[in-house]
Amino acid sequence: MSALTIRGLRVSVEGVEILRGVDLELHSGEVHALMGPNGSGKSTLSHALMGRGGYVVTGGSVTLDGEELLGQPTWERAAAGLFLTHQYPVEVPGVRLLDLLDAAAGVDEVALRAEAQRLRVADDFLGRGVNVEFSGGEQKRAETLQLALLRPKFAILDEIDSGLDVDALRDVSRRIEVMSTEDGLGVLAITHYSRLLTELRPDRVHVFMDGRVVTSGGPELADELERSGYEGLAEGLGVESLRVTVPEESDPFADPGF
Amino acid sequence: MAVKGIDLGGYQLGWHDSTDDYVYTPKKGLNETIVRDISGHKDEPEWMTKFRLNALKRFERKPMLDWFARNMPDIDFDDIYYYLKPTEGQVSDWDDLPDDMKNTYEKLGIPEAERKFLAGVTAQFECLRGSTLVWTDLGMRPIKELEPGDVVFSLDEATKQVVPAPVNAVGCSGDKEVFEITARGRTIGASANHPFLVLRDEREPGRQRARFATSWVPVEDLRVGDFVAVATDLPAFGQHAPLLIPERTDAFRVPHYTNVDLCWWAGLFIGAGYLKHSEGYTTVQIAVDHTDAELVDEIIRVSRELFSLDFTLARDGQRLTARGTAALAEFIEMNGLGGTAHTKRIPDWAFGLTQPERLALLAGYVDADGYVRDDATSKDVTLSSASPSLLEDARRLGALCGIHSSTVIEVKSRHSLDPTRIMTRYHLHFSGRSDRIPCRSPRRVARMGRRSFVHTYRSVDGTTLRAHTSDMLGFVRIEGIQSVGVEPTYDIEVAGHHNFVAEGFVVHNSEVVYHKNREDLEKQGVFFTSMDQAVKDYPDLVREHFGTVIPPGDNKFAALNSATWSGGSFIYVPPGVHVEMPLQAYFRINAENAGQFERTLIIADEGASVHYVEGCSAPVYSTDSLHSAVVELIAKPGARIRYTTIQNWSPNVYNLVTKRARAETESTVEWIDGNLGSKLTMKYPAVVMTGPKAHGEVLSVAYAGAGQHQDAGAKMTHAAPETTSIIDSKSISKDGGRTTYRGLVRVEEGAHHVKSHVRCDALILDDDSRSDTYPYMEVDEKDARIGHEATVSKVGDDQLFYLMSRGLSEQQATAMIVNGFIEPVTKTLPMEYAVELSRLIELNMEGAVG
Repeated sequence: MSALTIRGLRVSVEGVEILRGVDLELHSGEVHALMGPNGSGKSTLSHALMGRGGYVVTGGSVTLDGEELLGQPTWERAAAGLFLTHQYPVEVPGVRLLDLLDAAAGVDEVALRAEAQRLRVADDFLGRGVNVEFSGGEQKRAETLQLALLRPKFAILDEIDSGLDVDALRDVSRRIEVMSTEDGLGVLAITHYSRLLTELRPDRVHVFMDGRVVTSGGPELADELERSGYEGLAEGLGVESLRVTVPEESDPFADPGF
Repeated sequence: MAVKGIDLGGYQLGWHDSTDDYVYTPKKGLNETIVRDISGHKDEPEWMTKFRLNALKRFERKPMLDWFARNMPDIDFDDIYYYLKPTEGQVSDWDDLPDDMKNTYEKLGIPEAERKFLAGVTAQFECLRGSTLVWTDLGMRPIKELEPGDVVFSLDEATKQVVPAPVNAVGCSGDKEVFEITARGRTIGASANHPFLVLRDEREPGRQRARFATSWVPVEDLRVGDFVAVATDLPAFGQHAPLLIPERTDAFRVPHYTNVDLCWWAGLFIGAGYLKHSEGYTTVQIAVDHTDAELVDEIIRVSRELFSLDFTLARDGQRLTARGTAALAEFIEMNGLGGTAHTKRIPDWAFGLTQPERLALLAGYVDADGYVRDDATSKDVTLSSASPSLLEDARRLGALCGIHSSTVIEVKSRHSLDPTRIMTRYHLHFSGRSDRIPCRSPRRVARMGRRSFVHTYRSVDGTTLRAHTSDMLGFVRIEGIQSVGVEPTYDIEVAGHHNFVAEGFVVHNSEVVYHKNREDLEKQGVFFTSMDQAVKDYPDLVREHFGTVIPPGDNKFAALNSATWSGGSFIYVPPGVHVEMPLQAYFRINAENAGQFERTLIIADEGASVHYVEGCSAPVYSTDSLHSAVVELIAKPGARIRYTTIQNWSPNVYNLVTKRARAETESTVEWIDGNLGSKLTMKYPAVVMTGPKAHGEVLSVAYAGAGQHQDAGAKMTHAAPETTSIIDSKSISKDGGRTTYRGLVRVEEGAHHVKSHVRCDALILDDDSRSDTYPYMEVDEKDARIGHEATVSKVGDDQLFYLMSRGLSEQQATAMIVNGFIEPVTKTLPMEYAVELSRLIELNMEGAVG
C-alpha cells in the first residue's frame, strides 16, 4: 500500500502565486477526482507535482511513501512511481511509441501490441511518431496505453476527458478502473466536467478553487456541484474568488486553460 | 599533405601518419614551381600539367566571393603545404589500419561486417531478420546477439537427429527485403536467398505414387503448401544454474544451484505465488485450492525440503503462508521470480537449465495455473494469464523441451460479479507432447494420462512422411509467404552440418565464401582506383571526363583544387553493370598545416548503378587545416549514382568542397550528406539535369556544436524537360553552433514540366545557437511546379518535459528528439551508416569526439 501525500503546497509561476496551500492524500487503489473551474490552478498542480521547469515551489511538501519528491528532477519522480497523462500531449516526430516505452521501461513489442489491442488502438498508430497527427481520442488512448505499460503507483490524469468522444472515454475509463482495482493504481483525476466522474466512479471528490482544495467529500459532492455550479458552491463555502488572478500578458508557462 | 584512403585490397593510399616519412616535402606556398613540381613527382602526362597551370592562373585572378569571404578567416594561402609525397604502403587487412583510425571505428561501434569490408573481404550472406530467435543451449536468443562460440542446434541430415553445434562466425548483412513464412503457429523472416529444408513430391509425370524427397530450397522458390522441416525435439542439453543468495538467511536455507524440486517450486511461484508487502516487511504467499489436498501437501513438503520453512494453509483455505519468509522474498526478487501478475516473467536462467529442470518448472507453472482440457478429441494443457509476455516465455520454454504449443491467444470475458466489465486474459495451449510435463497435482496428471492424440508432424492428410522424419524432425505445411519490407538482417555460420534451428524451423546457415571485392569488381569491368593512378591507367577515360562537370574556373576553391589536387577516387562502371556493395574510401588530413585537395570522378555508364560512400576524419592539430575537394559525378542515360558522405573533420578544419553531378536522360543522382565536424563547412552538392526525365536528390543532415558553422545546402539545375528534384535538409545547432541552409533551384528556359520539392528543417537546441535559411529560385518556365517548406523548431521545453515525465533523463530525451528529427534521412542510409550517423551525433552532443 503506497501513499501520495501533498501538504501545504505553494507554487508560483513568474512571481505570481498560483497554488496557495494544497493538501491532498491519496492511497493505492483509490480514485480521487479534483474538480475546479478554468483558471483555478488545477493544471498548475499537475505540472508542479511532475516537476516541470518554471514552476517555483515556495512551500509545502509532496511525498510518495515518505520520500520527498520536491526538488527531484522529473524523471526521478517518474521512476519513483508518479505518472502524468498530459492534457495536450506534445508531438515528437520520428520517435515511435515503442522506442519511447523501450527506453523508459524496457517494454517489449509483445506487451505493447497486447495492450494496444486492449485499448483498441490501431496497429499503424504504433509505428507513427509519438502523438504526431493523432486525433484527440488517439492522444488520450496513447496516454492511457503508456500509463498501462509503465505501471506507476500513482497517476495524475490532467483533463483526460477533453477531446474524447463517448466510446473513447468509456474505453479509457474502463482501463484505468481495471488498473486501479486489479493493480492498486492510485488515481487523481483532474477535470472540470462531471462527465468523467460518471465513468470513473471516484471514491473521493475534491473541489479546487483559488489555488487550493476548498472542500472534499464522497461522490455525492459531484452531484451537488452539478446542481449549484462552482459559483453557487463558492458562495455556500464563503470562497471569495474562483480563479487565481494572473496579471495580463504574463506567464509563458500558463496552460491554455488560464 | 597526406591522404588516407582505405580501399578494397589495392587502393594505393595506405600512408603513414608521421611527417618524417614523407619522401618529398616541397616548400609551403603556391606558385608555378610548386605546381610543376607536384605534377612532375606524379609523373603526369603533359595535358594534366597544363590543366593544373591553367587552373593556377584562374585561382590567382578569381576574387573571393563576398558572402564567402565574410565567413572566412584570413586564409594565408602561402602558409600551406600543398603536397607531401608520403611513403607508400598498402592496407589489406583490418589489423593493419592505424590505431587512431581503429579507435574511431570502435568508438562508433562500426559493425564487424563493415570492418571486414574495409579490409577488403566480404561474406556472401543469406540472412534472417535481427529479431529471429535461434534455439541455443542458453534458450532462444535473437540472432543479432549471438557470438562465435555460442552453441546452437543443427540437423544431421544423415541420422535425422538434432545435435548441438558451435557458431563459427556471425555477421550483419545489411538491409534486405524480408519474407515472412508462417506454418502452424511458427513465423520466421528471411531474405529471398535463404534456403529451407523442404520435402517435395518429385514423382515423374504420370506416376501414381508420390515420391517424396528432401532438398534445400531458397525462400524465393518456396510455395504455400510446401512441407518445411521443423525441429520437434532437441537433444538433452543445459546445466544447473547458480542462484543468487541473500546475505541475511536467518532460519532460511536454500540450494546454491538449481535442482528439479527448486525449479518446480519456482514454476509454481510464477503461477500462484506473490509477495505481500506490508508495514515495512515482505511475506511470501502462495494461492492454492484447498480441495486439491495432494498438491497442497506437495508444496508444503517441497518448501520444507528446500527452504526449511513450514507453510500452512491460511484460515480462508485459499493460500499458504509461513513465518519468517522475508529472506525467501528477497531470494525470489534476486533471482527474477518476483513481480505482479502483469510483470512476472520466466527468468532468463531457466532457459538454459537441464531438461528435467526445465520440465519441472513448466510442471510447477501448470500445477499452479494450468488446466487440462478433458475433451474426447482435444486434451490440451491450457495456461491462462494476464500477461502475454509470460505466456510467450512458457511457449518458448515448452518448445525447448520438445513440446509444441499454440500462439498466445487473447480471450475476453465478462467479469463474474460485474457484467459491464470486460476482462482480458491470454491463453496458451500445449498441443504437443504435453504428457512430458511432470505435473504433481493428481488432477492434472490423471487427465494428461488419458491423452490419446499427439501431433508429431510425421504425417499429413493421411500421407505418411515417416520415412523422412524422426523423433526430432517433422514437416509442416507452409501457410503463407509474404514480403514485409526491408529490414536489417543477420546470419551465422555453424560448424559441422551448416544449418541451425530458428523459430522452430531448420534453416541453412550462410555459405561464408570470403572473397576480395576487388576481384568481383574486376570481373564486372568496374574500375576503382585512386585518381592519381587512374590518370596513368585509364588516360583516355580520364581525359574525356576530368574537369567537364566542374571546370577549373568554376570558383576560387575549385581552381585551387584543380591546380594542386592529389588523391581521391576514380570509378567507372560499364553500361548495365550494377555494383551491389557500396564502394568506399576514407580520407584523413594528417599533417599540420597541410591542405587536402582530393579529386573524385565517378562515371556510371548507360543503365549502370553505383553507391559510393566516403567518410572523413582528422586528428586534431593546433593550427587550422584547409580541405578543398572537388567531386564530379557523371550519370549517363538511365544510370543511377548515390554518393554518401559522412564528414567528421576535427573542429579546426575549413571544409570547402565543390560537388556537382551531371544527370543525363532518365538518370538519377542522389547526394546524401552528413556534416558533423569541421570549424566551417561550405558545401552545396549540385545536380545539373541535362537530359529529359533526369532526377536529382540531396538529403543532408548538419550538426553544428560550439564554434562550428555548417553552411550547407544544394543546387538543382533543371536544364531539360520533365526533370524532377528533391532537397531535404535537416540541421541541428547546439552550444552556440550555427547552421545555414543555402539552396538554389533553377529551371532553365525550355525545361517544361519540371517538378521540384524543397524542405528544410532546423532544430535549435538552446538559446545561444542559430539557424538561417536562404532559399533561392530562378524559374524561367511557367509550368514548373516548385514546392518549398521550411520549419525552424526549438527543442521545446514541452517535448523535453513530456519525455522526462515518462522517466527519461534530460540527455536521453534530447538524444531521442534529435534522432527522431533526422530519422527521415537516416532511414535512407545503409544500416551501418545510419548507426554511425546517429552515434556520431550523440557523441558530439556529449562532447566526446573531436
